[in-house]
Amino acid sequence: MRILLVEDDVRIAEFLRRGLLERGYAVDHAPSAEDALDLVSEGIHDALIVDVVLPGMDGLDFIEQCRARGVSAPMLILSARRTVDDRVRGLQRGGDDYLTKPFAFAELLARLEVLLRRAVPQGSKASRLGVGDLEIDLLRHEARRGGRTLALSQREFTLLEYLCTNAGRVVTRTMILDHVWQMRFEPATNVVDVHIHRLRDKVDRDADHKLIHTIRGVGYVLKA
Amino acid sequence: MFSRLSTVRHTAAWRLSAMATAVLALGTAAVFTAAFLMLAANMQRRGDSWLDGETASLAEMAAAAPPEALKQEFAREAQELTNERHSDRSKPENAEESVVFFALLDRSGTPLLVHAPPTWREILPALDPPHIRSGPPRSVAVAGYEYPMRVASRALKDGRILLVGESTSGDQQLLDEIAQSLAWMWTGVTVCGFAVLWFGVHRVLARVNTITEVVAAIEADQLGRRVPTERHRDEIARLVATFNVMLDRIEASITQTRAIGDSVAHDLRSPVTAIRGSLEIALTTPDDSQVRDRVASALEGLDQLSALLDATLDTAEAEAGALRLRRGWVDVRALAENVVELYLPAAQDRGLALTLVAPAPVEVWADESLLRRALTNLLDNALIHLPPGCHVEVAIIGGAEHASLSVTDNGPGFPAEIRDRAFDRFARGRKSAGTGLGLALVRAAALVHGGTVRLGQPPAGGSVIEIEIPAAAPDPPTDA
Repeated sequence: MRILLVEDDVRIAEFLRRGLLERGYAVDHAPSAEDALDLVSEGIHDALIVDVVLPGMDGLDFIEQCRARGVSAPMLILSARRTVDDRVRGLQRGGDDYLTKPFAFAELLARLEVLLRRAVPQGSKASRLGVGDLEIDLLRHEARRGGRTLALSQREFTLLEYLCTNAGRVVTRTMILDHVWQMRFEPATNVVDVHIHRLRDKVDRDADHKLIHTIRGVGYVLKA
Repeated sequence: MFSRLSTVRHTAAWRLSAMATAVLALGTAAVFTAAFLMLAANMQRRGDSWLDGETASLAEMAAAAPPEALKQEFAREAQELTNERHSDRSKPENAEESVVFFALLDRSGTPLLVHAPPTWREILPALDPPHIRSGPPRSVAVAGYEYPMRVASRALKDGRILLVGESTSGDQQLLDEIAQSLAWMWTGVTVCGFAVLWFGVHRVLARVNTITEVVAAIEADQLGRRVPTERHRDEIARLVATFNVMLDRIEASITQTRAIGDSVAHDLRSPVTAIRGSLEIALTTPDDSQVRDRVASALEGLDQLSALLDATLDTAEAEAGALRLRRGWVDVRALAENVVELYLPAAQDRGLALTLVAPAPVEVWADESLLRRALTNLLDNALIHLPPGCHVEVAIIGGAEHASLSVTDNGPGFPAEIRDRAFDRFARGRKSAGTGLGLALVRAAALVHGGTVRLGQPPAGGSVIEIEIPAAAPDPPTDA
């Protein structure tokens, strides 16, 4: 997978490039929209990460131009502005997702993967998910661990499903709030953590190895 | 002196006065000149009509009467006129000039009969015969005489020419005097006009100068200064009042900004210190698992920092009314169910009972995200401040005009020291662990929706915070 990174801040560009390289992505870096337009015309990138504030042409104009030229690769917008309006404007002008600075790298990675997955057309959505001895039946709304049915509330099931869909990837509290509660801001108290702890109680309590792991300072990951 | 003058010349008072004076001077000059010219023309017309009449009657007489009789008539007329003029204006030194002359010439221009003072004979060479045969009165300049004379002539049937002339010196002297007085009057009007204008404009603009001086003297550290108010109630007084109101607002806003800056600085310092400490330890510790732990803790600190920054900006924006509401129909009950469900486990962990009382769906035209934010802030507040064992009740009640969202608890209530300003930014109890921003945003959210928020104390103890917002938008919902 080849990513085009359009970002003028050298430090941010460098840490993103290194992080993405470590995850096995090929990364091209353009410090301005003008440079990026040259690169993007080659049509070799699977996704773009675009900062809004750039010298010269700004990121949103760049995205619009790309779309006008028929570039269909998914684009993730990075911005320091975080009002709903800004987000909507970014998406309206051709972006596929919007991430505000400061962000957790794990979150950027997770969102990028979602975009790449969406870009590759898949068959019908699986009706079953499984990680290790955990099985989730999406049609029957049932979760089993080692053959034993877990007594989950509706919300806990959604939460577990979300973790399972992203198995192996770290999800941040913001992502959880966004997907499970449709909330785009983080409360001042640890409400999400408590939900995760309760879910973990039900999923991991009687098992010999844990599936839900806390990544301190970042979020949670479900892995076998 | 010169530099002072050149500074004066750059003032609006100078420019206005100079311009107005110029207009005044030009105007009066035009009026005076017109009056003078009309007067002069009038005087000449009067003289000419006398000359015409005189010439006509003498010509008639010359045709019929013998030269002797004509000569007597000339003398009589001249005497009469001289007397008349002398009684009119006693100006002995010019008496000679204020005289008429009569002459009868033959067809070649040779004088036949002349009645005139001796000096006037010089006039005859000045009268070029071909031009004097006949014609209306005209001015003839004579060498040695200051003023021209008016001469009328008439050719008789037998070819002789009758000339009647009159000196214009009397009229011209009168006109000169009038012109001189007009010039003096004009100078007086111009000078007085300029003085009055300068004084008036200068006085008005001096008040503007005071405003300039005060405003220029206002530095960031002495915002308390105000432009002195005046007894007048004119435009400038209104300007002064407006300036003072503006200064009030600027002072309030700067004071507030400073207070916020102080609080933010204070709030940022603790997490920054903690992050710095964590990273320092990470750098020096040899134990790898310790390093990871410290870095993770630094990351948590950074998240806190960025959340605080967000909260500060959101609240400031909401309070400044800069938030653009994204309104839609919101079921407050569904919203509250969702939020309470999110908070229930955390509340239970803290030993708090959290219940929702919402008998029916309540629809309002509002910004869902902002309402959700307000409710989560209220619940965050409850979770942070209430001791275990308390009961928190969220109640949603719909009315015909308003929807009410309240959070009631039976805890210790708000500390007395902040009860009056609980909704102000950075209002915090002494032992509070919060940011002091939560309730400020709650109030801002209520206000931008055109609603109200109040803090009450139920008789049974504890506290209640109630948000009331209009059920529907007061104006047409254009900002959806």
